[in-house]
Amino acid sequence: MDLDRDADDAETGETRRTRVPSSPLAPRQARRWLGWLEGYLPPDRLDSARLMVSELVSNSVMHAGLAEGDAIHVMARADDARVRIIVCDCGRGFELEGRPTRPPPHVHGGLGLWMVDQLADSMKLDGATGRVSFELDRGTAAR
Amino acid sequence: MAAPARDHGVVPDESFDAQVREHDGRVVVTLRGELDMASEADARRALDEAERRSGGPVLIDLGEVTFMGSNGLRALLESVESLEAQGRAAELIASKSVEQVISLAGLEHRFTFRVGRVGADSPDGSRGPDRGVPGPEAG
Repeated sequence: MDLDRDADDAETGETRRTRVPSSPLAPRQARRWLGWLEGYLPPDRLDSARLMVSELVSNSVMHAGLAEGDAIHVMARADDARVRIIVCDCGRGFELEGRPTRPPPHVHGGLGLWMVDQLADSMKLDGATGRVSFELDRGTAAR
Repeated sequence: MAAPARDHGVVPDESFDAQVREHDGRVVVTLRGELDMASEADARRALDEAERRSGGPVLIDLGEVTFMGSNGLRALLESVESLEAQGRAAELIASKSVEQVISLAGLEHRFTFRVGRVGADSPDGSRGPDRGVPGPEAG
């Protein structure tokens, strides 16, 4: 699982990786795992990161065609300027043209990816591999 | 490079609690903890029970919800819409986490927010769709 292909050649800061088994508990496990970023993000930005990872992992569990227990990969890299987080499931992938759009209020569901796009300072999608990465600037005021 | 973090084991389900009771002529649904994919089914059961209990108003107390994602928001929205379709009033007490997600989703206008906790000595500060900033008791 190559989660680093967008990484800078000179790796700085701290990088950690984990795999959470696909299940209804996966989003919660991923949120817990992000606790190590407390030293890099203020509380409100860490809460945003937890929400975003939770949404992405939830999408993997619900839509990637994974079997119970299949790995969902999460990586986080923190440096002086920003935190980058990648969630990848290697599942059936997804199709998305352009940026996520906010679903109409009467349509329930589909909010997760849109919320991530709203919260992140930048986001990249690779529908073919089910890989989503986003960044949060460490120095930006809380959203 | 730091060593890879250990994978976490199963997270105990003490992370969520749901209670349904009647208070002051209303059905009160109190959800506590993390409202996510793992607890969504329990939350829905509690909300469904509240609908079945009586035909009166319902208060959904999420004042002690520490996390809510889009799964929880979906369950909440469907419950409120179902109650309103029956002509029943539905009020919501929201923690800061809940308010932020509702606001992020642009759905504030879909809920009637109540300031203050059930049983607390506070004025009946219901706030409808045109609500302003929540009071200090909320969340």
